[in-house]
Amino acid sequence: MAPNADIRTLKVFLRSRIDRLRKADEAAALAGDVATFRSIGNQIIEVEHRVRMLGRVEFAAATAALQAKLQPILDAQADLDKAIAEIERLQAFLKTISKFLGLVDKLIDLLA
Amino acid sequence: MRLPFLALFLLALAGCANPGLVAESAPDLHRGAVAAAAQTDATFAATNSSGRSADMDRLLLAAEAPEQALPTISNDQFILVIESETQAQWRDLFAAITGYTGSLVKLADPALAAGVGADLTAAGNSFNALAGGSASGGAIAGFVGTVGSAIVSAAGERKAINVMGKVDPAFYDLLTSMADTLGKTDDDGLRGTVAGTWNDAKLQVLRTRYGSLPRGPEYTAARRLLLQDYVANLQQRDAALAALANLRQSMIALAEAHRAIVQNRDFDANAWLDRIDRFADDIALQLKPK
Repeated sequence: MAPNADIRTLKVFLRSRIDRLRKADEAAALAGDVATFRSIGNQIIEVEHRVRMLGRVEFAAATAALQAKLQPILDAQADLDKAIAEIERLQAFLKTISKFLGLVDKLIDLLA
Repeated sequence: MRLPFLALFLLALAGCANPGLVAESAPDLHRGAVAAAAQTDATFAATNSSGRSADMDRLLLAAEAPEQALPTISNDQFILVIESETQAQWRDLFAAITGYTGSLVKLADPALAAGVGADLTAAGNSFNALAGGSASGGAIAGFVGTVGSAIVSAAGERKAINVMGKVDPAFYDLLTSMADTLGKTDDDGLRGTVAGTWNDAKLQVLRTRYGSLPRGPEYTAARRLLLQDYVANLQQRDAALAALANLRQSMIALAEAHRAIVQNRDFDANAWLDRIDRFADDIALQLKPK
């Protein structure tokens, strides 16, 4: 089983535990048993703390897996940047020609 | 007249039935990606903040229990749901996405082609001047510049659409996978974790405090404060979950808009881009301090 599948299974188990605790908490409230009510309330919060720790690990693992999908996007950008560079090179070339022809023009004027 | 021929030529060169769609759509796609990146940062910061606040409430409540050992504080008691390394990895993902959409904007930008056109005209004028200069030579230089600009523009569009088509399956997969990581529902992924933080920690603390208050009118004021706090927390929970759901939707919208552009579905592309705008606005509104 993938690590995240294990984490999800554990999360589901702990959440079902929270559901059971919540029912017990409601029963304690109906019975007016403040000490039990508070104690179960604290347990719910403590279990949630563990669920959140698992959530952190699960999210970190899922994010790490996303990195493997990144390369094609980087390659696509490189392709686009290459095409942009080619156009910019063409522009630079045309500018150079204009400049050069301008110089030739001046030279002809001098010689004339 | 040569113009219909030129238009047909450019159409064929662009390799698509709707030339200009990339030039029109790429800036919106890029804006959407940049907005989603910023909103992800803000949403993750809010998620960590609510988690730490829940831990603070948990420790305060636990310290009130008479049977409790001496309360202590340690770093481990405060959880960052999204660690700094994970946040950095999300920034890397968005840096790649916005880098790619930014390059799309640049390549399809008519200004890039117009620059080449202007330089072609300038070069043509220089040749004309060298050849003695004539009115028709100047006109030809202008024409060459215009045609050159159109060709470069169409070639840029064609290159952009080719690259988009090639990368689309990977782009779609990445964006929808990112969306799924956030959670398809409020029981799933990061959304599930955030929902638990509010329902089973922050709101639970208030439920426990409320139920533990002795009966009697002298406690009505204290109960009222707890109820007000409870309602405020419910609203904050709903806003946090809505922000994550909207963020997920904006990632799906980016993937769908990209696909619609590649498949030349002009109407669909614009509809998805409109949605991206709306999601970005909604998220910004939800995250705005009240």
